[in-house]
Formats: sequence, structure tokens, C-alpha cells
Amino acid sequence: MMFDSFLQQVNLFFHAFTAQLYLTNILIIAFATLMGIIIGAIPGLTATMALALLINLSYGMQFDLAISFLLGVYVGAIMGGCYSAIMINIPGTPAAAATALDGFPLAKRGEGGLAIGAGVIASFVGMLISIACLIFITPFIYKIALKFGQWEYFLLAVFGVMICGNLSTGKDPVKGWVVGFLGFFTAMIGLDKVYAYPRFTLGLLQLKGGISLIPALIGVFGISEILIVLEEEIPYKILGKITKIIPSWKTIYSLIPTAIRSGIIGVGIGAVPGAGEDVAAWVAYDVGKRSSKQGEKFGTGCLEGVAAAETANNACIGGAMIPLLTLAIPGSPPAAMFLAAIWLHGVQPGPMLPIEHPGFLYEVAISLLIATFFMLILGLIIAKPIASILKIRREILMPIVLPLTVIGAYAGGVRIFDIKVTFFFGILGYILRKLDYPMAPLVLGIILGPLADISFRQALMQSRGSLIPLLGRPVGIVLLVAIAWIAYSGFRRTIEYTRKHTQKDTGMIQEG
Amino acid sequence: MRKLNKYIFLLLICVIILLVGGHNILAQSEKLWPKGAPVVTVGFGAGGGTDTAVRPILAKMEEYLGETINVVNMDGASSAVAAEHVLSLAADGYNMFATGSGPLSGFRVMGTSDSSWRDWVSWHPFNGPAALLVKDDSPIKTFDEAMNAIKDEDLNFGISGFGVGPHVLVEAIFQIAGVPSPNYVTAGSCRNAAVSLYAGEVDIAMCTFSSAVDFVKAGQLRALVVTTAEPYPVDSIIIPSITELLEGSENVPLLSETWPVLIRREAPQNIIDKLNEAFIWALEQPEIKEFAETKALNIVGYYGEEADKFLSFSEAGYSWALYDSGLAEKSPEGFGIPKLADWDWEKEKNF
Repeated sequence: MMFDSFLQQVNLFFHAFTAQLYLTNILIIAFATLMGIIIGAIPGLTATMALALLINLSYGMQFDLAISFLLGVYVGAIMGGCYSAIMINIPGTPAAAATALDGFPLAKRGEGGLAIGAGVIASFVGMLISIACLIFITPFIYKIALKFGQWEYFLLAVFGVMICGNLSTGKDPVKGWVVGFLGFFTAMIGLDKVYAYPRFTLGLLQLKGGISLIPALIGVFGISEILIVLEEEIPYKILGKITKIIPSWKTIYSLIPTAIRSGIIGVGIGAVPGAGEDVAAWVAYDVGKRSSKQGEKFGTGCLEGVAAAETANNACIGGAMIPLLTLAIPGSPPAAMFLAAIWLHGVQPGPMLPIEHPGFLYEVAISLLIATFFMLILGLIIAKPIASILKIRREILMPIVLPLTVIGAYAGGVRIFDIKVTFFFGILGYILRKLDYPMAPLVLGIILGPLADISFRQALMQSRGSLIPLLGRPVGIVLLVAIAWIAYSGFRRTIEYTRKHTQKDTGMIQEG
Repeated sequence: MRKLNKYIFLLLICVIILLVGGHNILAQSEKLWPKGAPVVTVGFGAGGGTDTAVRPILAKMEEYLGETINVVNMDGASSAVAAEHVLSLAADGYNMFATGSGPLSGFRVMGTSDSSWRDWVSWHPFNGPAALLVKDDSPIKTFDEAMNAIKDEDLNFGISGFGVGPHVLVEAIFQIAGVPSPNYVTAGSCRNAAVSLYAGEVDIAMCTFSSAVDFVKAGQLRALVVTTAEPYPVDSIIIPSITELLEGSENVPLLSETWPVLIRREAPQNIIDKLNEAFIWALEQPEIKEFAETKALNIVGYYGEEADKFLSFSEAGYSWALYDSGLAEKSPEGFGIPKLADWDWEKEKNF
């Protein structure tokens, strides 16, 4: 019986494989992947936005072509974010924020091409791992995802911000947490999601709608970076010629353990609805830093850091498809767009999918696989020209980037208010950077704030307002211990750092 | 001869210019929106319930009209931000709005917008009945058992959120059945509420049926009742209608949420008439019927006065339900919104 069912699955797989391999489909995937890469590389235009804009276009398409098209854009856009993160320190998508930590220092040293090459190859490996998981272990993973109740989602959101805060400031994690929770606060602005109560809206209608993520992201990364560059009399230059893109075999070989570890983390986080590509990248980066022999070099321009973040954010795609196909709950925001698109085509994912559309899982997997190969090929081909464009003098490049980013901020919601938000966060970002606060936790706080807020309150609704029943849940205990450990080690580092600083200052005063 | 050729050539060019230009001018004047494509601003995010319900019907209407209708999403304040945005633009028929009948009915009492159904002409392709659901292995097997359990036991009751369709429907049912409100656990969306029920996070849930129908088909969740006027067949299972199980619940099905496309009431009449035509045609198309069937939605096709009547009734139901649950900022009384029991279309239509 089991053998029969296995044979049936193999048969469905090969059927999907041959059904997807025809010229129009392959060309559509190639085109979509390229488009995705370009959209992802432009700060402010995200995978979510690209899919939202293209859903209507895909509505008129034949169903399997529409699926291929959207998946191609998704895969391309998540990887494309690394170009601008590495070359101009402005992540093209929120998912690439962790990539900038090591990518940008590498670019400044003249190794931007190599960083991009490593990023593309890592994304490729991440995709392969996630597709394999999607095909072989979907039923097991989604059962684990069901163990995540509201309490666990809340802890996951806090965990994400704690890790990000811990990582983006090397010496003083408390600073990272401060801005992370400032992000949480920003996310609370607007009508609350349970009772529609206006919070911090100052009576303004626009604020009732809340602060949108993309304008805030563009502000804190884009506008503040532009202000910093334009302020300098001699802006920094990206050194040397972009000669080498593909790393040596030896380097690739050394990155394999990082890639496999980050790939598995990416799939796992993708399978948990609500977290998404950005959290995956941060968690993989954190685990990479802790388990690598070169951990202390993370953040100074280390290929392993780029590989950890890039593998995980792409691996998240396959992971996000698991709850999407089995429960119709998208694992990440772009996956939500993909779900809407397949609904429009009359396919209802969920428990009936294997009965109503038995080959659909494999069709998705094969389309992802083809898109993955195009992502690798096209990603490496265009790496050099894109890197060369982004290498031009900052004082010329930044004024060009400015209107592009503003358009990106406006395009999502077509509200002038969003442009104001962009500039507000630009100036806030500039001030915080001058005070040595990191930007990434702020953005992750805004992303995870709504999840933390609503999950915490829903968990309390379930437990009738008491925390006691929530503390005994096994997945929750693991997450709580992890958060406590991060908090403990982080505070210790901050205290050591402050002590050293005070000693230095007192020393200087005594000397003076 | 050469001169003649030159004149013939010139004439030919003139004819071509006239033909192409004339055709363009004619085509422009024949167009419903000659100045450019109209925009429908959906008040919720891309991929949400409103977005997915509205896009297929708009795509079919485009086909009938032979013109493009652009769709953009402007999320915020339960679609009030988008409503205010469309109201701030000219009422020239180029700007439309899409939302859910529930949020629209709540704008004024929630204090999010001064707009109400009186400002809009609307088209409602579908409505979404809700279902009372339990897990397949739940000891609760029938609607009556569910009412008793809610009365006697301390159950967690899953809904998508307060003040939206299923919550208002279930509150109406509780009021008629004399059952007190249970401990609600909101899940953010009906799909999430269904998954919470499946995962054992809540004991019972009320969800838009479309978001849980596949769980019911797969035998993982059981639907005890559905808020339609007639029993609802799903494959071989017949789900009983609320009207046959609960006396006095005849009006409950009318509270099922719809997802209308709306245009300012002052928009040019020729645009409204043409949109009526396109809407009627679109509803007849097999793709729309198939979409409604897969999503367990009812095709209702309200437009014109019927749409106004529905929205007026819905406003009475939703705004008082919001107010009674302590969620509304202002009393419906202040806006002259009657309670459902006092609602009378003959009075309401003279706005």
C-alpha cells in the first residue's frame, strides 16, 4: 500500500517534470526571474510589491504559465536584494538587510564582485535545499508548524528582534535592542488590530492607517545613507576594478557547511507562518556567527556572513510554500501574494489540494527549480554590469538613487503621506546612525511588531489573561530560554564595553 | 505622370491620417473613460478577502467594456483611508473604491470616516455566508449542543476579528438563542481562525464558510450550521441552514458580508449605466460561477436600489453590533441609524 502510494508520487513528480519542460514555460521563467532580480535590486521595490503589481498580468495567462511567472519573480527578487545591499549599503528588499553587514565592508575593500558572486551561489544552494525539503518532507514540517500557537509566534517575534539587535551592533547590543523596540513602537501606531482602537494617532486619519513598512525601510536605509554620503566632503569610494565574481573552488568548498546549516534554518523559519525571509536571514547569520571558526570576523567583511544570510533568505521561499500548500496560510508576505494569485486561478490550497490537484506541489517545485537555475546563471551574468553601475562615484550615484527610492516608497500605497514618512524616517535614521545606533533592528521591529502585538494579545485571550498556562508550552520554553540567553550574553557584552569605555575616558582625564 | 503620382501619394497619406486619426478620435469618443484608465482603490491589502473577491469580477467587466480598469491596494483603518482618498478625488467616474460591506457599515460609528453607503453607488457580486465549526473529533455534534456548551462550559471561541461578518452574525444568533457572548479569541483572518480550530487552539469557531470549506470537505472540521436561507450542500454533506434550526433567525442570512465595488453617487450616469451592464454580463460568465463555487461564495448580484437596500440593512446590523460590543466610538443613534428591529427601507431610502 505504502509502496503504491510512493510510486504514485514518483509518477506525479515525473509527470510534472515533463509537463513543465517546454519552451514557452522556460522562457517565461527566465524572463520573470530576470525581472525579479532587477526589481529586487532597486531599493524600495520588494518581492511583495512586484507580485502585487503582476497578479493582474498573470490573471490573463494560462494557469501553469502564471504560476511559473510569479515564482520566477519571487525567486529573483529575494536574491536581487543583495546587489544594492552589498554595493551601496541599502538593501533592495528587507530580506537583504543582514547581507549588508558583511557585503558592504567587502565592497568597500574592492571585493564587491566576489561578495555578489558568493551571495548568488549561496541563494542557489538555499533554493536547492528548500526545494528538496518541499518535495520530501512537507507533511512532517507542517505538522510541526501547527505546534506554533499565538504564544510561540509572539516569542518568535521577540527572538527575531533580540537576535538582530545583538548582531547589528558588534559591541553594544543594548543599542540594537533599543532601536528594535523603537520599531515595535512604530508598528503599534494606528488602529489596533483587535479592537480597532486608535493608538498614537494624534487624531490624524493617515496615522490611523499605521506606518507602512516600505516607506520606513527606505527612509532608514536609503535616505539616511544618502544624507551621510552627501555630507562627506570626500565620499567613500568603492576600490578597484570589479574583476572577480565567482569565488574560487576552495572558497566555495569552505562555505558549504554554512550554506547547508543556513538553508535548513531558512526552510524551518519559512515553514512557520508570519516570520518570513528577513527573520530567516538574521537567525542564520546569528547561528553562523556563533558556530563558525571565523565568528569574530562576521561584520567586518566576511564571505561566510554573506553566504549565511543569502542562503537562508532564499531557502525561506521553499519553506514558505509548505504551510501555503498544506494549510493555505502563507509563510511570508510575498507568499501571501502568490496565494492570492493561485486563488484567482481557482486553485484552493489546503487539505484538499492533494485530492483536487495532486500534481500541484510538484509543479510548484519544478517551476522553482527552473527559476533557481536561471537565478544562478542570470545573477552571475549581470553581477558585473550591476556592480560596475553601483560603483560609480557616490556623489553622482546617490542623487540618482534618491528619486528612485522615493518612487519606491510611493508606489506601494500611492499615498503622499508615505513620502513624508520616508523623509521622517530618513532623518531619524540619520540621527540614530550619528549616535551609533544600528538601523536593521528598527526595520525588523516594524516588520515583527504587528505579529508580536497581536499574537501576545491573542495568547492572553486564550488563557483568559493569565501568563501561567502559556509558560508550560514546550516550543515556548525553548524560545524563552533562547531569548533569556541572548539577553544575558548581550547585557554582559554591553557592560564590558561600557566599563572599557569608562576606563578609557577616566584614563584620558587623569592623563589630561 | 510623376506629378500625378506625387498627388496620389499625398492623398493616400491624407486618407491614412484621416482614417487613423478619425478612428482614434472615434474610438476615444466611444470609450467610457476617454481620458485614461479608471482606478479601483481596494481598501485592503493585495491577496486579502476583499482583493481576491473583487479582482475576478473586475477582470470580467474589463472584458465586456473592452477597456482596462486598474486596481491598486491602499490598506489602512479597515479601508477608511482608501475611502477618504477616493472621496478626495473628483467624482468624474474615474475613481472607484472596493471594500467589505461590514467595514463600510462601521465607518461612522468607528469614527474612521464620515462616509456611508449614501455616498456611493455599489455593485456586489458575491456574499460570503459564515459557518459555525468544530473539529471532527469534538464532542459537540449539533447546533443545539454547541449553544448549550457555550452556555454551560468555558469555551474559547475563534473569530477573525471583532465587528466583521462572522462576529456580527454569531452575535445576532446568540441574541436570538439567548446565549451569552463566549470568550472570543481573534485570529486576524477567518482562515487563521479555521487553522486555530484545526490545531486545537480554540474549541469552536465562526468563520466565513469560504475560508474553511476545504477543511470540511476533507473531514477535518465539521460545519454545524451555515448562515444561508437554505441548507448548503458540500459534496455529499448537507449543512443545515440557521433559519431551519433557530426560530426568529430569518433576517440573519441578510447580514452575510459582501465585497462591493463602489463609485461616487455624483459620477456621470452613463458610466454607472455601462457598469451595470458590464456587471450583469460578468456574473453570467462561467469563470465567475466557477470561482464562486470553489470559494463557497454565493452569487448575489446586488446593484442599483437592491444594493442600497442591502447596505442600509447591513449598516443597521453592523453598527449596532459594534456599539453593543463596546467597540464603536460613537452611537449609531447619533447618525439616525435604526436598530435592525426598527429598520424600514421605505423610511431609509429617502436620504
